[in-house]
Amino acid sequence: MTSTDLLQGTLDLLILKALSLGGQHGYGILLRIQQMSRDKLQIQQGSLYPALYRLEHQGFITSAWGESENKRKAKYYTLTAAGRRQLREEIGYWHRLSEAIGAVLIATQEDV
Amino acid sequence: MPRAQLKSLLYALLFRTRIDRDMDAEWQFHIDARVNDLVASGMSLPDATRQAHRDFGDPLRWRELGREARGVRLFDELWRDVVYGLRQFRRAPVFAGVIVTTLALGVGTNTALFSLVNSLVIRKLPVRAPDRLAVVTGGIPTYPFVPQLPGYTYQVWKAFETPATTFESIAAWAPARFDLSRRGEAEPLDGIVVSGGFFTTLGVAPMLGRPLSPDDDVAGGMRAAVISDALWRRRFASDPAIVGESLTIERTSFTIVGVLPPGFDGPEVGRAFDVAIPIADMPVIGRANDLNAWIFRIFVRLKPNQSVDQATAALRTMQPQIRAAVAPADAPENLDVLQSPLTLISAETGTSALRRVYARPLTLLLGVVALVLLVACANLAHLQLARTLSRRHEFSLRIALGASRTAVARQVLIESLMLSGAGAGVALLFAHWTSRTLVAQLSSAVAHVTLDVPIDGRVLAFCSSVAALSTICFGLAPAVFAARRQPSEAVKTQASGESYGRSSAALVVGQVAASLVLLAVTGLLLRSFVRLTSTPKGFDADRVLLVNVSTVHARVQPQARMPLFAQLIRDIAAVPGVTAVGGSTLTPMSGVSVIRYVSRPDGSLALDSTHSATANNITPGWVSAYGLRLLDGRDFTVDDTVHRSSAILVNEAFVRKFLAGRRVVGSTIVNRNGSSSTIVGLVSDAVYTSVREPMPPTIFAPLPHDSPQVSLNINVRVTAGSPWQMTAAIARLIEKQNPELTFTFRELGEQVDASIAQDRLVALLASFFGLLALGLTVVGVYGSTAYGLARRRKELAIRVAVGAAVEDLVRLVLGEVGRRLMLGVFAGAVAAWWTVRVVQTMLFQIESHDPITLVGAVAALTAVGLFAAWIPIWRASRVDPAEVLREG
Repeated sequence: MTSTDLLQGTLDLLILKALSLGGQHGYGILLRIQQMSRDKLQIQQGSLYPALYRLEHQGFITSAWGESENKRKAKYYTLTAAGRRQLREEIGYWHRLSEAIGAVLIATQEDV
Repeated sequence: MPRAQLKSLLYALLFRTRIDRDMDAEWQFHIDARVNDLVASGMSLPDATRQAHRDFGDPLRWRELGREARGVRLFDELWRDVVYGLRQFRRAPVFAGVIVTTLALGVGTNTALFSLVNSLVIRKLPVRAPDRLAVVTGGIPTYPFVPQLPGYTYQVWKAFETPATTFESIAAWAPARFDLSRRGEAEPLDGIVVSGGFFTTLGVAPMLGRPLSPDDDVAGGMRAAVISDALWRRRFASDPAIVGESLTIERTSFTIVGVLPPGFDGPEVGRAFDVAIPIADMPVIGRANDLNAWIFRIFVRLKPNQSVDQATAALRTMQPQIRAAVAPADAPENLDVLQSPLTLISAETGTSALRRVYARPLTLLLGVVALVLLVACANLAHLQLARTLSRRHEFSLRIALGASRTAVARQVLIESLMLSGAGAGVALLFAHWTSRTLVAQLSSAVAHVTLDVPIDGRVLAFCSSVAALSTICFGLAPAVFAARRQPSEAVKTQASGESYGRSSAALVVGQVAASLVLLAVTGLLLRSFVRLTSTPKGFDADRVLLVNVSTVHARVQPQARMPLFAQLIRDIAAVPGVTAVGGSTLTPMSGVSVIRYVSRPDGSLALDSTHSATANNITPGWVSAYGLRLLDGRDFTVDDTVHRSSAILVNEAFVRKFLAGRRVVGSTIVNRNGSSSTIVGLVSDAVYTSVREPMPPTIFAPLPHDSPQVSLNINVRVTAGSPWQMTAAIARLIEKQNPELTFTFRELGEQVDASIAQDRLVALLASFFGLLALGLTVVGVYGSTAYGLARRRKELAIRVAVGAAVEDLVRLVLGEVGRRLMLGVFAGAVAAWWTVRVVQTMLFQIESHDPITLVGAVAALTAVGLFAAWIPIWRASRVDPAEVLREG
């Protein structure tokens, strides 16, 4: 699956979840999401950043320049308290949504 | 917007480059990390680099999306629109220049006039709680030919002072002119005399020193004076040690105790004062007589919750007591003093004679310039229309390439806003300069006008609203037009003409209508002014010098005054070049008037205008010096002055009013005090206070040789040339007579001119704006016709090529323009008919619906409009159609 299938809001959700496991820079977040999805989700590399900036603008994550593993300057993002709350809400919403869609999808002739 | 988001937005707006650099660094790290991973998984470095960049995507797109994510997209787009607009203006500088200049002039004149109206009519006095100030009116009979503001005598004021608890405080003041000279020719200064509580009642605190207090307002006080900031700067060079310095007023030494702050010009708007002295010191400077003159304005400061109506009611209950104190019931000459009810009028905008004269004309002029602006906007709209049409390719191309229609419309609107913003900015500067020039024009030889016209909040708001409205007028249509372009038009070369034709027609019609209304108003004002200047005044104002000689500060015995004046008159008469000399206590049209009551033949007397005549005391020879004609009987002789005869002269109007049917010379009339006077001569009519008022009945009495008069106006008529040539000789004579006399020179003609200064100014300005509007309309009609023809070149050329007669086409186009003109004229005539009644009160001897003026305006506008349209049509008719078609 490619990133064009993902809705904008879904990418935000994935980023929040990824960061809930700990602060990380942009490339690292990308790798983490790929890992967590067992390589089933491929996100177009650059499209991550507008999403990151949007989340930062909304106050769900903060950024700070730091040093990477190989001593290079990188921008690290961390989840804020508001971000944690938002993540919980989004997860709840996602579950409700997938339940509803699932219910529609397994409906048979008799349920209609 | 939540705080965090607002902060983020501001940061993104202000630190754009830093954010861009950060993003670049961040992405570089990302790509490098990816390259490392790819190389680690076996790819070659160049392949890995290519792959990494490809997978990353387009950085420009991410940057744009990033800015959008931070909420700055709108600002980015607006900024882009502004830069784009500036580029457009650079490509068409004349277009931009014309629009900005026209707007600057149009909005500027509107703002200038508004700031004048604001300062004169709307603005409140710069004092504490001005809405609690009220001025006393009523109680005195009014006469149509006496223009002053209501004033009372000192006695009345004293009677007011006693019941002091009805209001928070009360005060009185009177205007005065003081002479600051120490000898010789006077150095006049505008000043006021005030009661002790004046400054506290008004609510003004001095900048330096202290205000005048009730302790100063007693006889034998320290002769304290308070001066204005302007005088302090002008005469004392802003000396910080000014308090305690002395100032010579009317040859008497006063001590300066305070300096008032700048911006406070006094309770009378339009008349600043430089010195304020206590009323109690008036006898000290020789003005004890003025205490009995009706010159004192009384105003009150209401209590905190007292309304003007409540205060008036309270005042009226006090009135009988005041009346009793001033006018004992048994004295018949005080029959009507304080008879009519006293009324309080709010004085939060101050009192103002200037306002009474100019409020209406200024408001009218404001309407006039608003119309001029409308006419100018029509031209601007035309310009914008033409330019927008020429840019239609650009718009349709942008839409074809994917720009949203809102974005295109917004960009055009921003261009218009930039133009009007620039125009408004220049307009403010222009208004600042113009309003000051206008105020200077309001001053005349007689009355100096001081009016502060700052650009305050109200004026700024006015300027911005007018600029915004103009923008809508000429900016909205092009924006809508741009948005409605179809992408397919980008490849079309021929454009449709209907949209231009309709809009253009509407603009021309509107412009012509507005111009007609303006021309009608201008025509009326101009004709009224011409009538005013050509109306016979009854006397010959040319070549007359007025010399006001005063013995106030000279040590002259009272009984020696009249002989001194008489000698002076004889001396002046002997000067070569002098035709006639005579003295009078009053000069007409000086703003001062005296009333005298005449009983009816049956002995009854009523103290109102049916029994009054204006009066003047004169010396022999004054009649010819002034320029009146002696129609019957004789002039006064020296005998009349010496022997206190009861001889009087009357004018024709007097005869019509009081002596209808009776013999003039030899008749007697009964005066108010019961004595009778004999008419010895009849003189021609002359205007008294103003050229507008009909010549009033006038009684001339001889100036008795023991008159208490301390000053005299000597009229000197010269044979030829300017009367000013005599000043040196006359000054020498006066000084020789007594070096302590004070004197001033003025030309009678100046005084007459000053009295119609307002009418002149209004007529001048109205004519100027009328012509301006006419010129703008000519340009508009010419431009729209020329442009319309240019757009139809091909069509018309083809028509001629296939056989149409040129004359027919000329008639066709001329007919179109003519119809528009007619429609505009008709609409304008209807509007004019309805609006000219506004001007009626300002007109002299002419009806507002005067048919000649209206017909004249219609004819002038039609003729000029047709001519303006004819030129481009004629030129087009001379063009060879083959040439046009060859142009392709």
